[in-house]
Amino acid sequence: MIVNALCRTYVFLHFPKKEEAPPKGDWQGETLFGLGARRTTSALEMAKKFVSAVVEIQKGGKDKLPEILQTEKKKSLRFSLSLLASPLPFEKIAKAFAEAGLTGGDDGDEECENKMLMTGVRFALKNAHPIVIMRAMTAFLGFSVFDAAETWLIQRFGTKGGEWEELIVPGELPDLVADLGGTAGILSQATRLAGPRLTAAALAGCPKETVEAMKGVSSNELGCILMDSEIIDARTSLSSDELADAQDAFCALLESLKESQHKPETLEEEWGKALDKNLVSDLSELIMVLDDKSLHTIVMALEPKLAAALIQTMTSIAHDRLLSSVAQGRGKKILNALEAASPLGTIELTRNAQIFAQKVLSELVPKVKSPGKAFPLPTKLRQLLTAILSRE
Amino acid sequence: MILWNAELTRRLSCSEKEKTQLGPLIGGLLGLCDSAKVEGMKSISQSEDPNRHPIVAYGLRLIAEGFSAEALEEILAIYLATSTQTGYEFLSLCVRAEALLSLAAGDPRELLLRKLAPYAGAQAATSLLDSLGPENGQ
Repeated sequence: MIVNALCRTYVFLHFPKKEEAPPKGDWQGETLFGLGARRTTSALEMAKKFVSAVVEIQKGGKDKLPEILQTEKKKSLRFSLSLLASPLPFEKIAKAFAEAGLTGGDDGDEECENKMLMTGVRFALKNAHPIVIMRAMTAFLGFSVFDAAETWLIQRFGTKGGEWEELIVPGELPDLVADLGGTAGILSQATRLAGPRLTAAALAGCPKETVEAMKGVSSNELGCILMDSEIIDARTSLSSDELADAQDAFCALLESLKESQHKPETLEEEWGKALDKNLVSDLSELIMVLDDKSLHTIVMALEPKLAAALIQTMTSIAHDRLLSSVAQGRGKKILNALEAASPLGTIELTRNAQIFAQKVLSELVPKVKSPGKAFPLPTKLRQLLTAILSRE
Repeated sequence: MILWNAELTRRLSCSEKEKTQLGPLIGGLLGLCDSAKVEGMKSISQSEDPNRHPIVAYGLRLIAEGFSAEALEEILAIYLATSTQTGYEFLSLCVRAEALLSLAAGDPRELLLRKLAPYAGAQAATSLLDSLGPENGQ
């Protein structure tokens, strides 16, 4: 839930209260730090440096850290990287930055860079992929750097296909993916439901064509790089049995999505589709526009069976109004009749609605008619009654 | 559990009248879910729609990058927290971000609607569920 994530972000990053009037109109990604073009470029370069250093540490281990720290001149960047040496709990990251005098300053530019670094440290300590770290850090700079970050990430992490060897774990996924080749929606939805870890583990034991088919419907260029990386991780960290289990689980997911797409409609669904939506709307509106007294009189005089039949042709708000217009005992009788009723066809529903409309008409028109004078019905009510009664 | 933050609550506050605009917005986001179900995420993230809001356009690209739900949620929260919007504009950004998270999780249309409708307020949510739910949706 995004509201919870926002609350956590506010607490972690201590966002200042913003008092000035907000700009109106559609947001194009401007940020509250209001960095100029030069400082934005500088912050982007700092993020690249941080991410590159994280990659070095991930590859060469923490022994690489002193060498990296020695060559880094920027204090905040050096401090942030030094935090990666020890397993610092997430909640202490902000405190560590504050104690180092790196937060709470008046300089908006520095404040932005420091929050980027705090976020970078947080993601790096979670062992996030460098692509994820870069995306999280550059989110502070708005959308203006989105494409530039992507270009750099592709250059930095892009691999030319065929760098990893195939590992075939027996399973049904390759055939299933081939069968579903024309249904991009199902394949893509399965990867999202399974999440990147399970998808990668399932694909780790499949031929390249299967992996490419899955990536082709669900991932863009950076997504493909990330997926390849996850597949390599799965192959090194999971056993063949675990890869086979993952493949089976993914197959079960694909099968269930395939079934749900081709599932024949239940009688209720078919009935719902056949329902005349204009009749539902007219009858519901008629219930809603009637005054309390008239509605009470009309519904009290209705056979519970007819009232139950009418309920099949109205919205839930109209149901509520109809049932609340009568005494509890009467309402119960209507509900019992509804429970015993079977879904009616369009013709019967229309006929019942017309009987109801006639009852409304006879309740509302004066008992003694003045010749030549129109019934004094409100326009809306007249229109609804006409719409229902003129149906064939 | 829903967390609470005073500054966030202040930024999100807007009138009931403004919240009525969420109906068409939610309808459009449900349409995006329908497209994803047919075309797949890569295709809809690459289609150029000039009417698509920037956070939706960039958010779809982030989904096609295949991040975990947790990472995507944190990244979108940073975009929102550092945005300059308040009031209805900010609320509508949150609704769009919620829709992106739901799309990334592979949620079906009905679940997406149930996640978005409460942003319109308790009373309006019921009407939205009626008007955009399975009986009246696609």
